[in-house]
Amino acid sequence: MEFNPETENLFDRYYRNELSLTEKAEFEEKLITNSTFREEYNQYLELINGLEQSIKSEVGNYLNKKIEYEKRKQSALRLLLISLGIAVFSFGVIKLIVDLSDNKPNEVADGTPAKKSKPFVYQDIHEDYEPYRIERKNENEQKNKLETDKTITQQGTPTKPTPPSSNNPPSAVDLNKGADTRIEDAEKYSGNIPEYKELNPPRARSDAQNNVKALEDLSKDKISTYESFETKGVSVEMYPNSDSFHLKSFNLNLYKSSVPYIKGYYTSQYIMLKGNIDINKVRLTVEGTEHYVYLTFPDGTTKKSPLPKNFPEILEFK
Amino acid sequence: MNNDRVLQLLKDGNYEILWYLYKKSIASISKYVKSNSGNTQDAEDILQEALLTFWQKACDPNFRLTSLPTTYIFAIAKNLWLKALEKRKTISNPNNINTTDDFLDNLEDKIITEEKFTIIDKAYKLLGENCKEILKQYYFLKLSMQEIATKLNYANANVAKAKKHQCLSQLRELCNKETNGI
Repeated sequence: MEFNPETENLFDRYYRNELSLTEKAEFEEKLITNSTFREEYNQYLELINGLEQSIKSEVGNYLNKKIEYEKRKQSALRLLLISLGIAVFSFGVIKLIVDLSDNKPNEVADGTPAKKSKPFVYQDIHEDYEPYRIERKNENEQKNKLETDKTITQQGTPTKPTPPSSNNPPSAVDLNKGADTRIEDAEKYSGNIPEYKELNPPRARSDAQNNVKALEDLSKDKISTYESFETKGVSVEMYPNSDSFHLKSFNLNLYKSSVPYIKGYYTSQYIMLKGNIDINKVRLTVEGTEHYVYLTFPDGTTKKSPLPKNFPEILEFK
Repeated sequence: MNNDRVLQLLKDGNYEILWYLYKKSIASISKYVKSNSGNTQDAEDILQEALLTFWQKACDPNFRLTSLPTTYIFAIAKNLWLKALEKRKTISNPNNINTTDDFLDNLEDKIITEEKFTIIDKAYKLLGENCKEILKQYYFLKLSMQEIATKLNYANANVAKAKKHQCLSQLRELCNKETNGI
């Protein structure tokens, strides 16, 4: 239904409460008495109410969009913060794992990285002396060879034991004489076989002489001569810390000899043990926190010697 | 932002001021609604209604704002929420459920009215921005034709009046088209 401008104007003024009291009374009377007018006004009212609803809806949509945007923004920000937190946490965990895998010490409270202690590397020091060691070894071998040859030349070739001669073989009857007879035979023929210890006396003496000579050299602070001792298979590893000698490990391989001393290897230095000691019957121990080397005898008695602080030095057990 | 500035922006139909007032008021209203049997969604709906009421009030030439806008909005929202609660209580009481023919007739009327509102809303969205603005300022904000003419740069109130009539006729036509389309 189309409103003419006058009717619409009248409706507007009534709707906006702009009519005077008289006009308002006339308008309301007409609404009651004139059904067509009432119908027109109802249509107008529906339209204007619908229009108001639409305007409210428009504003509501605007506000809802803003609210939605704000919520999304906050949600994204929250997500970002969570992601950031996770990233920082993950980085921390990874860093910790990497630090642990690198065996890197943690930083101290003031942020200064803790000083990384460098482990003692025995091999490095040992390698420095390798050329001297090889040279000394060759020298000793040469000397031993010459010494042995000299001894053999002086004493002559050792007499070979005479095997039972074909002219005098034990008869079958003899063989059946039993154990007693065989022992007698063995004693009879043993006189022809030289004892084992007599086979190489020159070599044993040579070793002993060399060792004594090396000991004497060390006593005279001849550092270069210690290499000859290591070739004998004696090795002791000890790890010093900054201000004292803490023994973290101790490996000793004793060289079987009648020479009454034990040689130790302490970092790049030697420990010489001196005394009337049968090394096959004593036990050499080192207490890690005490600076002593202990010798324990079969009867349980113990003798100790303080670890030297200046090397080379001879240890004397008391 | 002082009260005069807020009122002026509301009269200008600036939606941003509504959003500004929404952000300023949502915390207190949400707290009030939640502590009175409501939830966040209720608070948002009530605040929107309160803002629209405040907006309409602000456009009344006789309106004088003596408190902070947020205080005024809170008072409106509180009143609206109490009414809403009263309505909920009535609905939730089984003794108040009306099953008479009158109720069914009213229900039918409501559905028809809702359908009409949907048609008008669709038609309104098809209007040009100028028509929307002039109808909003005249019927919703109840500004005078002279004010509308000044704000929307019409030569005078009569031109604005003619334009308003034209826009309302256009809305009605669009409604008829929507109705026939249904």
